[in-house]
Amino acid sequence: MYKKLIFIGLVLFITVLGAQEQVRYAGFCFSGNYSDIPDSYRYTNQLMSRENKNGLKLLEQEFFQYFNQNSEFGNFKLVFSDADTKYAMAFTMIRENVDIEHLSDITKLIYNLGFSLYILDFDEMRVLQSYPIKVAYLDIVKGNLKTNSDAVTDMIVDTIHSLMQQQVMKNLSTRIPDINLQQSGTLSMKVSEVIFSDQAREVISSFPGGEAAYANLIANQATESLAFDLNVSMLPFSKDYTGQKMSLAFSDATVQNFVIPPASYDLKITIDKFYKALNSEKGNEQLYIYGAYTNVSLFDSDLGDVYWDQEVKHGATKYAIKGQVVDDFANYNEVLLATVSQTLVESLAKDKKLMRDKKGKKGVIRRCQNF
Amino acid sequence: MSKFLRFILLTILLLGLAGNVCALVKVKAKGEVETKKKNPGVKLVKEAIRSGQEQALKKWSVGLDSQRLQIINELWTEIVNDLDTYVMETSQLNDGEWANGKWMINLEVTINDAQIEQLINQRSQTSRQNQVETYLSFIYVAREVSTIQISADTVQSNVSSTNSNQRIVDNKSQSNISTDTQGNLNVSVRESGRSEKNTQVDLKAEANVTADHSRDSYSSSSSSTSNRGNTQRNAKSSNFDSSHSSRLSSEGHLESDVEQAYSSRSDTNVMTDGTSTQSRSEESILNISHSREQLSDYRSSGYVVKSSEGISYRVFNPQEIDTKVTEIFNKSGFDVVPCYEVDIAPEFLAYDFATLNEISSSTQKEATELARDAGLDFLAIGMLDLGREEIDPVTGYYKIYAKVNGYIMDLRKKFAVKICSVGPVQYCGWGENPSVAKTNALIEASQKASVDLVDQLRVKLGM
Repeated sequence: MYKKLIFIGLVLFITVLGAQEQVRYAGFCFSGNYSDIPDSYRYTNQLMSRENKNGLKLLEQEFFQYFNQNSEFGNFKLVFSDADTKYAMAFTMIRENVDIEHLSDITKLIYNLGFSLYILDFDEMRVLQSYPIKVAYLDIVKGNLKTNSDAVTDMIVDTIHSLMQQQVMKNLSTRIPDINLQQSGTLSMKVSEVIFSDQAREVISSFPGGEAAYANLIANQATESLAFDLNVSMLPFSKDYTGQKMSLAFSDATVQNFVIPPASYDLKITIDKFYKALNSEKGNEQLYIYGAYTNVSLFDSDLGDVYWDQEVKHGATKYAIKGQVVDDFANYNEVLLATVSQTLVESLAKDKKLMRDKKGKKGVIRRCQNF
Repeated sequence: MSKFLRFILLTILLLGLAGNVCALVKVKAKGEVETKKKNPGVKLVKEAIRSGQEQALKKWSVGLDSQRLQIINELWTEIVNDLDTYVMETSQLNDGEWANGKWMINLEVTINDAQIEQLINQRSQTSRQNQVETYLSFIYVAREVSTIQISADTVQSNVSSTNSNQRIVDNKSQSNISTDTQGNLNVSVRESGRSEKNTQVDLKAEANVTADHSRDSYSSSSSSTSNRGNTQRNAKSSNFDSSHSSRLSSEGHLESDVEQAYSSRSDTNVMTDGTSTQSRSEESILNISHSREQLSDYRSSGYVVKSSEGISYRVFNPQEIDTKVTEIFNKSGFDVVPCYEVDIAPEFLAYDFATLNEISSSTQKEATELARDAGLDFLAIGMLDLGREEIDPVTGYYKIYAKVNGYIMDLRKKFAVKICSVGPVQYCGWGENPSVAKTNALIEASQKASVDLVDQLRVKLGM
């Protein structure tokens, strides 16, 4: 009798422990104000309206099929039926920026697209985790394109479509095993502030969308690196959202408001300065050094404790031909993005205090990691 | 062996329950313990964590309303003695540090406020069990806007001229244009709303109004228009919906009535003995010229009378909220009696609320007497005022505001006494359509008001 009971008990125990957490697929959505979608996501919104031969939304179907084939995540499985789970995952577009520049007889199209995989708690309507992904793409087309013509719009929509298929989905495939559902007891982190010095502000003034949009880009880059490379449970940067609320507009026209809860730890990134110097000259060739100096602070906004406060800097060399017009902003941007991703992650990972994992003594990063 | 089996089954049960836990609130707090040791032992660390958990609960309770805070304060010892029930999870934010004779640790405490709510209800029920049964009935009435009457603003203008011909023009919203055979020209221009206006002026003057009048222009575009003669009359209207009328008599008196809508397009047809002159304008200046009068330099001044909108309401019985409100009162240990049991007709209260903006003393008196006769201890009355639906620019959803007022009458004494009240407080309901938004607004408002009333009642009754 006892043996039977033990067997049943063990089977149940193994079933409970071995049961993988389920997360429902919530679909593709846009982040932000419902009424702003046609303006904020001009091209992707048009792409969303395209239908496949069955009369279904093309993009929605592509993402559905993609996640159907890639449903095994780090510690959870994506389900597509009405599963009894309060967790949902939404693939969200957070930024669409297409800049068109006319240069003599060519047209330069610069694509900056931002996406994020949000893990949401539908019971309490809050965001649990954010995994941002960014796509930058430069396209050069012969001739001077008419910006507002239908043909150009269609071309941009097609390019965005192929970027989603070739870059976004491809990049995501390699990262899906690193996406984990936050475990009970795991703490969270959030980029809460991005501050620019006067000198930095001058440099970024040419960025389309201004300082706020650039701060968003930097915060998302840092969030992406910490979430994917350090496996830290990250909450989305929420500077833009009033009252720490985020609206997600889904493709079936429903809009849900999610609360972005306060994080256990906050990350403040201060962009102190950009640096450029001529390193060497050889004939017509010049070697420039571009650098970005930042200060990153890991702190607790509620209790006022600072856990880590350090200068994080990164430099890169760039060759130029004498007399060539160099796009300084592009180079500064490149080094800054590398600073808040590569260098920041390396610096945090090297810090023994942050990463320690001894009995009763865990570092801040270790407390936020999902394994 | 059986212990091991029990352990396994208990673990399974706990794991199963963990998934269903809701209403968790995370609060950060500092736990501290006085010690000279820089590396405290397990016992001291536990003490510090416990102090942090208490701090977190205190911090959480600060955000509650005063009635709830009072209840929590009364239950404080009970909560602190059983912290593990009310604190779901405690995460250490740091390893702890020693400073100034204290060892401190930063904590993130997850409070299970559903358990605390349960404790409050449990206490009420226990308290009620020791007393006689308490009967309570509630009547929640609601009204919503049925029609809105918006009156156009009226411009009261004073038109004056430099010569003796001076007239105060009193404008009303209705005006006509007619010219009588005595040479009195009555001009009436009527425009309404923001639509195009079409004004016809019939001039049938025989002796005084000649064919030249066919060239008289009634223009709204130029600052002055003269017509062969030397009469110039300007009547300026303001940049908002206005009313202005003109009447010109052969004696040189001008009375004008003009109603003009802001930024409206106007067409004016002037018909004089079969000849018509038409002018079109987008500006709000009306010039009237007439050759018969030796008037010049007319000026106008005036003021605007803005009428507030007239709103009429329709009442309805918000059945949607009955279950929710009953649940709240029931959970708090009151026996809820439906109002039909005590012969109170909510319709009378609703009618008063819609027409008088409040429940009249006589209706109230009647209701309390009926309730008292039926043996009720308390009568709760709630008034819900639903606003107009609007589309939220952020989400595209419909949203409706509900304003709520409520009070509870204590019927146990000689006189019915209002022992607790709430509001007016506004809550917003959202929905994909107006009906859903309305229901959500009603539920939100009635629920919040009922919880507040129950909390106040608990404090009054010492429950």
